[in-house]
Amino acid sequence: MIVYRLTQYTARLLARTLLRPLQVEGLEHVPRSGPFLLVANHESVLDPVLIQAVCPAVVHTMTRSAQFTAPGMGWYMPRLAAFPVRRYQVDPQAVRIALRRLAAGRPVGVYLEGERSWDGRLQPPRLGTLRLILRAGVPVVPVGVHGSYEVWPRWAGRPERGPVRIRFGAPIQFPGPIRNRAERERHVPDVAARMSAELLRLSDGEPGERLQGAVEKDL
Amino acid sequence: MAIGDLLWACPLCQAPQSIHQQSDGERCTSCGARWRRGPAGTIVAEPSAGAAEGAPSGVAESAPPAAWLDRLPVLEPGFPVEAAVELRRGLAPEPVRLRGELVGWVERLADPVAGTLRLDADRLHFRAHHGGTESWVLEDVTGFQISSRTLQIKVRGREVMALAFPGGSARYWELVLSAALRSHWRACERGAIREFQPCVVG
Repeated sequence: MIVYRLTQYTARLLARTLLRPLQVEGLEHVPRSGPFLLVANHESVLDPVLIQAVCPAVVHTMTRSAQFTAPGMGWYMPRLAAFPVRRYQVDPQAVRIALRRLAAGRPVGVYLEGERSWDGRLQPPRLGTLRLILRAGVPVVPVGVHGSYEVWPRWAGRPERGPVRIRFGAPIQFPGPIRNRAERERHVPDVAARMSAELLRLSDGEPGERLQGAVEKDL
Repeated sequence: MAIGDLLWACPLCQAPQSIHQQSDGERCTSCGARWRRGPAGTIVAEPSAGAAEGAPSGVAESAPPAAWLDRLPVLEPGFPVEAAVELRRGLAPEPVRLRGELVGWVERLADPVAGTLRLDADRLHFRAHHGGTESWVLEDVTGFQISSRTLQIKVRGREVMALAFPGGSARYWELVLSAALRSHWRACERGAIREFQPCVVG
């Protein structure tokens, strides 16, 4: 907890220097206690740092496992309440950890798209995230990040100064917890549509414009 | 990371995998246009004098990345597709613990092996420069995704492999491989692919 709070404090200081301004809205929507899922859009490598810097609750973030492999990060990341999710395969251990932390009354943070956007547009939701929402059955707090792409897009080697706005939305209660897989699948399209619309609204996107569709191209 | 990682072809001259880092910034090796970051996350193209078709010579053009992506050519590679790669294999996953409690597993990667990657209609081949060849049928590719500079592929029953493309574009290969997989799934009457990550789902 000390490492988390120290990092949070440092991140706030850095954010104030780098981001002009850093606007935060809707903090009153973040539950003061009890479990919830914080589900955000992902524009930049800065997003997890900024969300943890401004969110009053200690958020346990599902983080790609590669982040834990750099020297010292295997020690540091768990103390930031992060837990690894392996890529390229379903990681039941990461889902178990997420559910266990929610069961213990802790908030868990995930990204709807599963990875950073290349072009700033919201990508289609990842099925695993949608299934986790339905499996957990806890309130979902949507978070729209706007401007972090312009500050540090995925293709750029360094950040530049710019305004960023983080907007927390009112908690959404989806059906759940749903343990039956077939029943979960029935609700997936509704959750996908609702969450995409909510994140577009909170991040100032235009429905149908910023949502990047999966384009099928043939050889 | 660089603009060439995002734009797998030059939007001005349409040459694939042509934007590379040079001594004076990123340039298209085909038309000579210079590419740089503009304000507020935009990308600026500065065409080389008289080289870029459809763009006034020497007049810089600024646009958001999404607008440049919309100007990329339709991907129509024929088989085989080949590239020089550096392959790193995943090692056995290691546990991450906090005060004795298991918080998850992480993968580490072995040292890179240089070689050539070739994609045919139904399989991938890797030929190491120091000898040795392997191939993986597309049917067994259970997941793949791109990090900023590498393409990671998971083949059924094998460890994760990370492929870097020196002088090439990981994004280009992501598109080529996803198109090949979609095409292969349809040929096998397995239907459409909904998602490639973390695993290929129909």
